[in-house]
Amino acid sequence: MKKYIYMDNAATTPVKKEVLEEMLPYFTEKYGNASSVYSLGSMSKRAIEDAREKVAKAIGANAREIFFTGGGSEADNWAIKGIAFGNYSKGNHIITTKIEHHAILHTCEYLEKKGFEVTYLDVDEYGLVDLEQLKNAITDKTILISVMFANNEIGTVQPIKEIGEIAKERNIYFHTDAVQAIGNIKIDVNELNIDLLSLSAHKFYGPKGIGALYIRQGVKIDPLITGGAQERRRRAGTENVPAIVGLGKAIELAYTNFEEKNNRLIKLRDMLIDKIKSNIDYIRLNGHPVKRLPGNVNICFQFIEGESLLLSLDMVGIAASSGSACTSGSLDPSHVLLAIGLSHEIAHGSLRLTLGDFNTEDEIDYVVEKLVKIVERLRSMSPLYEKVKEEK
Amino acid sequence: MKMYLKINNGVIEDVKFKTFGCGSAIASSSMATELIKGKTIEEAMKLTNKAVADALDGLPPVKMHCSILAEQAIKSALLDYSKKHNVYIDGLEDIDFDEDHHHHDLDDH
Repeated sequence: MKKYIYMDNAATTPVKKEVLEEMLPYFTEKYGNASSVYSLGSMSKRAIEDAREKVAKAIGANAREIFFTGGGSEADNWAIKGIAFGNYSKGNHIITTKIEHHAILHTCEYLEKKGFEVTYLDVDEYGLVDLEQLKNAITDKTILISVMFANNEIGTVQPIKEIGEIAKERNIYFHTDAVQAIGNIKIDVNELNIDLLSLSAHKFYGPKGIGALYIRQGVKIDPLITGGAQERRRRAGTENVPAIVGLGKAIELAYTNFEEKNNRLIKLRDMLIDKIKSNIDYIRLNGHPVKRLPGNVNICFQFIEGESLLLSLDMVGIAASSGSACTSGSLDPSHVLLAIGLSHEIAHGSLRLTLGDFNTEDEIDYVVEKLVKIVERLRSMSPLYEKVKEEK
Repeated sequence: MKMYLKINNGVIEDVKFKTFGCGSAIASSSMATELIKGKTIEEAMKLTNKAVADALDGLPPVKMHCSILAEQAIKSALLDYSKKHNVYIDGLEDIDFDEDHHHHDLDDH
């Protein structure tokens, strides 16, 4: 039997069986439009409100503050553009970071073309923002601070509570892209002073194409999609009922037995890091050693290139990802790896292995065993490694 | 990208390569060595990047430059041979490679 090991859980996750089961009736039997008055319609409406309650409960919000979207990117777009256009009279300045997801970065770049000003905060070698730099960046025109909860590539978890306090003190809206954090970190929007939060179901064993934006009561925000009265007139379009049901079930499951699952992931993660460290030289762990997502491992292997590493891993049945330019279709390696100060040459050799609920200790051993051989082979054909060996 | 040629009586008896690069760069260099092994210098000079790409059943457009690198690496190696052994190779006179072309430009893939 051919082994297949999936270690790219930050890219997406499989839909859990329990989630799928809850979704299925809403495709074929309970297919009513939630806006319809008859009982088939109200059945859908109830399912949506039930899911909304579950999402709200997971992040300590009120159900009326949860708005379903077509995924994490839409939630990010809505938060940034909605706040920008809704508060233009107050100011035109936005603060974010250099390591955000492109759903934030490209939206900010778009707004810059429309007359907004954006400050992109630096991060240190671990990928953490500097709170002093954040404070200094604030002007009377600042209307929004958007800092991701945890980074998708290197897994670094930001000091969200401190950022929330700074934003609150200065009366500036605080948005966080929590797409990678939900299900992996316990989040309470009130405790952390978060005004807006983006999440996406397929990162925590829910379906793709569904997400949500938490919008604190009283936040002034323009809609992104206009047309109907759905989502209290804030997000038009017939609700994707099965997907919303799936999101609700998935987020509920994500925070059931949370500590146990979390500890297991952290143990597996550290085991993988330690084994790679003790078996392969010329490597660098990217991201913070402790302030990192429970399933994230991101390591640069010097003298080799990430895509060739991924192809070799795929040949032995291992799915992973890389920040190499060759995998992105552009000439530059990942903006996150460059922001933490890596050279192009080193950044090209990055490998991201992200663990999830279905990975096992045996898989860790198998991956390390294969990785050692693959890295050795690729280095043996690398002119850069040859030079290092000659110098020794 | 580096190419090593073992030439005897104008015939390339053996070829080896070293590449720091993506899958397409490694595959292009490997295929290029296969295509010129056992061939004469004149035959090797006729190898085009397109022939390398075709032998690989095609490369995506963004990866075509990997095959160009392979063609250039072979010509660079032949130029090196012609300089070291005072052998004139037809077709190399117009080619102006600097040292860097032996290597895969780091920003270029």
